[in-house]
Amino acid sequence: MAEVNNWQLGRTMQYPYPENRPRRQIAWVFDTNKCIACQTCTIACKSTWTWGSGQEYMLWNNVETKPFGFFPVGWDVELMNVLGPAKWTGGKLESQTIFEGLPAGERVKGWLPAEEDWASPNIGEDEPVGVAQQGSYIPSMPHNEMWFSYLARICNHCTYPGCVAACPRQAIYKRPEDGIVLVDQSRCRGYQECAQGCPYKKVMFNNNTRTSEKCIACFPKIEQGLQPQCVTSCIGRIRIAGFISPPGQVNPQNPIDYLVKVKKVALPLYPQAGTEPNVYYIPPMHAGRDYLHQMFGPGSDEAIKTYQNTKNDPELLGLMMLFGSTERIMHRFRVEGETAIGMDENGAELVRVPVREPSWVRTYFDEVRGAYNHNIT
Amino acid sequence: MTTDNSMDRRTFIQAAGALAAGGALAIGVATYVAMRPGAADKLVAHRHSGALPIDNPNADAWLDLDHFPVTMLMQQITTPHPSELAVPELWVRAMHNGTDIAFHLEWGDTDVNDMDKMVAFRDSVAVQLPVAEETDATAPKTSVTMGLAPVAAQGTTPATPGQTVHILHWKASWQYDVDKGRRTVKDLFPNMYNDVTPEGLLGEANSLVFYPGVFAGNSMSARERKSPIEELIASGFGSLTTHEKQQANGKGVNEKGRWRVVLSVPMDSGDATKAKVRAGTSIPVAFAAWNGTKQNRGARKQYANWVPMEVEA
Ligand code: SF4
Ligand code: SF4
Repeated sequence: MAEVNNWQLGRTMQYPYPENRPRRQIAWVFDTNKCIACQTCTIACKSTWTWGSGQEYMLWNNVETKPFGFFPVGWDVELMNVLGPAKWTGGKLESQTIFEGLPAGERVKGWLPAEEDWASPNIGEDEPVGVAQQGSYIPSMPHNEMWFSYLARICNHCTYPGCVAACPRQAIYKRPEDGIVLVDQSRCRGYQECAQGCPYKKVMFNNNTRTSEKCIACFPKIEQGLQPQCVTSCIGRIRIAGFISPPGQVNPQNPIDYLVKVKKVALPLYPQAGTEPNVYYIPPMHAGRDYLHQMFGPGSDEAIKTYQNTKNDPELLGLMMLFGSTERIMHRFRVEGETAIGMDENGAELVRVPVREPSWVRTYFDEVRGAYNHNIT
Repeated sequence: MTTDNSMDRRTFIQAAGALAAGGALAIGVATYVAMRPGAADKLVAHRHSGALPIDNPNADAWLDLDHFPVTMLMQQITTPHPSELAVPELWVRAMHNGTDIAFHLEWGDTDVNDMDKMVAFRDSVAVQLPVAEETDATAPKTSVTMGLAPVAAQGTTPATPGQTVHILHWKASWQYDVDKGRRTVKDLFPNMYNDVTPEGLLGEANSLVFYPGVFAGNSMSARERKSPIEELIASGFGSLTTHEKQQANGKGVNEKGRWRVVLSVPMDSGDATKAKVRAGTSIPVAFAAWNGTKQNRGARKQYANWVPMEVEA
């Protein structure tokens, strides 16, 4: 075991391999507040990569309803069982990760979901906590008594992948050029140790080829400077993919750094697992806060406060408007007055969008036509 | 350690006595076991004239040989470990005809696992031979831990050469592939529905890229299987690699709660990366076994230390 630095935990931790960060690390930000669970991302991924026989229930991208939806069933409940409640002091994790306090003979604290757990990808869809009473209404945020929210999930291309730690034959590797985590299809022998070790259950067994497979971050697109399919197909424009600076470095013009490190509005999912996941979420502002603390760590209250103030923050607002505005990877952005501009690696302009879309408010009653008007957003 | 049904002769006589006294349980199993000679006190690869009976693990030529009982251990040298000792003992028989050498391995397993699918693991068994010639079969220099990786100081080429082992690995799922044809997803999950497949839309040749394991030439994914046995080489844990020259063959059957598996390979393949077995010598052999029900796979296995084996002249 090596001692490695996990910035998301505010401490070092045990990991089977020494710290060896990629030259650059691909990362995503998902705004859960804007997701409508249309599953366009899921289908974009599936129809690109996993439509072969043997991959029928293999969804590298899935969107689940929280708290009662999961794919596979109960995956994060099980993770909580394995880890116990996360204990944070300030920004430091006091409890143990999946790599620490291991049972004898194990490489990570893991579990294998049962076959049937993979058979209901959209179980629990739109099921809220709480019960609506006659005349119930929701007066304010958060909706503590009754809520559900959507969680779009892909492989986190973790800095300290549980799958890499679990594989006894080093058949899974993290690419030095972009941090993408891949299963070497010529070396995998189908042990499914990775499926057991990934806390997010994002490695899956192909029943036809008898090897394990996982999200490849659409690397052929990334290599061409394009964002992955799930990002560019997103109807809600909730996603952005780019490169995050290493710990200790911040580039405020880099969209990912700005959201994760400057504004701290986007947070890792279940950081207490210790894998340093690289998908960052803007937490759902209406969801139960205790739940969010468990799910996104101690920064969730502040992140929501920042998010709720977006309308008063032209830079943040401008960047939010740039989500889903270009297929290309946006390395930099700036906001000039009422315009947000996205740029490529060389500073060349990729796209410009208005910070505020023009809007018209129609009168309640149209005198000419004698009809009532609706205003839609 | 012995399993319940791997009793030796004396135990069988006692058991037979109990049966005669009125207990009529398990007559089938007891008779099945008792029809054979007893345990050998050393492992010998007997000289056999003519073709080796590699297609029939139940052949008299095999069962007339004394079996050599090998005590198996839980693999606890490297992680991950198995959760319990699932295969406590292997019975080993061996013969050769000067050209090929074959091993006959037998162990108790009442629950056949012959599928490779999600959350399901196959039964399997392996024979390991050192690639380098060992002068003393009782004290081999090659590590039993699947050989040893070459040792090098950081940034230098290895000063200590690695040790390579040659492994014959029989898999129950591959036996099924050979006997009955590779299971489709529909065979594994009868209610599975797939409305469009890459091969349906693009044709076989153009669809291969959507089967990455097949495309990469992974032996796990091979669509045509001629042998249930894979030949591999390794230099230490995690280094197991399919040998590019596959020459092994054999057969495994499970009857009455026992696996009997024959694994055969040329004694001299003409390949320096494989073990060479010479008649009239003694060589070290090691074994491993996996029980699918107990989720055994990879390092979650039972293994046996090197056993010296006399190869009859
Ligand atoms: S496409 Fe976008 S909005 Fe639709 S489910 Fe996926 S992440 Fe949510
Ligand atoms: S999310 Fe799972 S599969 Fe993806 S890199 Fe992390 S541990 Fe591996």
